Amino acid sequence: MFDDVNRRTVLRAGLGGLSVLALGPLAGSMQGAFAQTGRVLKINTLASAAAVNVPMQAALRSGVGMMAGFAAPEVRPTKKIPQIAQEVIAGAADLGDADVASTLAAAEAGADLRIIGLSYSNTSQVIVANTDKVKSLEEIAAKGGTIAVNSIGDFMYVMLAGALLKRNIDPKKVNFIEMGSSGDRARALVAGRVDAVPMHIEQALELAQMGSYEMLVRPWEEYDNWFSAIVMTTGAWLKADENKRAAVAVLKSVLTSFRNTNKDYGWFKTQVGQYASSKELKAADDSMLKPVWETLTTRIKAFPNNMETLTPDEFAKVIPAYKAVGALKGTVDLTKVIDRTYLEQAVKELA
Amino acid sequence: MRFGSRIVNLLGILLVLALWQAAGAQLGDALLATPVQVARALVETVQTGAFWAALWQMLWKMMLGYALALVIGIPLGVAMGRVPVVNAIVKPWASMFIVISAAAIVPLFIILMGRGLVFSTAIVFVVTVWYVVVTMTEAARSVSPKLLNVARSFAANDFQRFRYVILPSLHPFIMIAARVGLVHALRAMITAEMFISAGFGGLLNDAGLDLSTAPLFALIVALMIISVSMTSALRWIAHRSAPWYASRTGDR
Repeated sequence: MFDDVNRRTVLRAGLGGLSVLALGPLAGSMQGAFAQTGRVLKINTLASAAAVNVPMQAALRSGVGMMAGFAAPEVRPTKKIPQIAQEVIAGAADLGDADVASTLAAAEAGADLRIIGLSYSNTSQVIVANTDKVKSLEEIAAKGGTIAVNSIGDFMYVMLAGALLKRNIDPKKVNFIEMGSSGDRARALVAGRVDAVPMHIEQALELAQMGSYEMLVRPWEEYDNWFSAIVMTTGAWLKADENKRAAVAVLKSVLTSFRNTNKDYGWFKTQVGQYASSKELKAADDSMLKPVWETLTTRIKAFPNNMETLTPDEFAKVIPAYKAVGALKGTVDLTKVIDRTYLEQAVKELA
Repeated sequence: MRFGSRIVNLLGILLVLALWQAAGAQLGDALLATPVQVARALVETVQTGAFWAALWQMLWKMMLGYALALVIGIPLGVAMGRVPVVNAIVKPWASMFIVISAAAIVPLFIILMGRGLVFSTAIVFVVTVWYVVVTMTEAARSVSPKLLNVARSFAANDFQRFRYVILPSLHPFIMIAARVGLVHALRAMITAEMFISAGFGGLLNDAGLDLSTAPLFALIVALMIISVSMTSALRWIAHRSAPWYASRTGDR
């Protein structure tokens, strides 16, 4: 059958292939024709979902679509965290499940941004070290050690720098390096290439089983709330009535997800199996997942039922740490940026 | 001879696998999963529907950008090779754009085009087309003057010389450009998908979160198999359709 292959048959087959490819988008549009009706919001979110991100992911991926007038949103994972806010500012996305650091920095630079909700209230990342080698932040600083963070200037870098300052340690005595995902950082720690790394609580618990890897810093013990991810959009977007309704619908979905997580471990476990990024976390059994859930809901208090912690006063408490490391000038008007209007409406409607 | 070289190939592969197994056993799977662990993870991975869905999504979108790069790159490269004015206009741009990495332009393209089909097609096209153009430019320049002179002596006009001399002699080089372009298209698509955590790139991101490196290596091995299979298929087609070139280069 292949004896007939020659220059002309290859050219003909190539042209045929191109025609098929050209028809591909038509197949996509046909699929869209049968999709559910309702407004499709574009919501940027983090590329990977740890346990603490799961309630937010569940809210976006299955909750919003159940709200009247809304179809399942176009949830758009984004690897570069600052890009989440950048796209919202550029008008390429309706809402962002963005990080606090880049949102506040953009607001301080003059972007018309509003923080309307929380993706979770308190970070679940902890600073872990191999205690066979170093036992404290003081020891790391004294030997000019290295700590890997996702990106210098992000919320975990600032949290850590703030924790160092609280211990009267100059953050400049520590070498901060940037390193991709929390999985990459964990591997760098295991390899002994760095002295400490931030990682999610579930990864820290898993790593503890592999050796003397202990938590040196727990942000919830250093600060009341170490905000990291929030629901944000622009002031201009919120002017239209249909967008106001959309903001309330998304927040209702997130609040419902928070409440379900707090009261029902079984629900949380199901959502982890569905929306967590890590295969290990998805497959986690109760002996691993339940302590994580208990830590998230009771010690970290990551999912306040009514997002009570979303206030300018609570945010003002973390600003000094951002100022101290130069991540913010501290001129941002939190009363303008933090807008509880839609949250309060969502709480009222859920009641 | 051919059988002998196959044996040497196989021994080389086995040697690397043995070294990898020893290193992996020493370092542990958090740092370097062994080939056995990777093979197990690969079997698990290919049994999931998510893998095939992600693979299909990636390949289909990549092929669109890749096809566009060939459709535009081949004639543009030939024109650059045969028409000095076109070469003078396009060459500086080709020289500049060919060094741009996908990672550098993806964030900008996301903001400009969103994350849909246009985005992935554009990234693959922009990264791939210049490799096709450069390959075809060199190919068009190297068409034998003797053949063209023979055609002229038979009073062939410009179109006839292009249709009956230049185009057939370019055929093997089109296949080479297609092969070179394919590798760059695949790399560009993976980079783009890693940024938006979709498709195969999304699977790679997720696998990077696991403490064990086995799932990550399994996906990388799957990607290597896909790349080698596709380029081998193109090489096979090239050999079948341009046997005169294959025999000249001694490529088997």
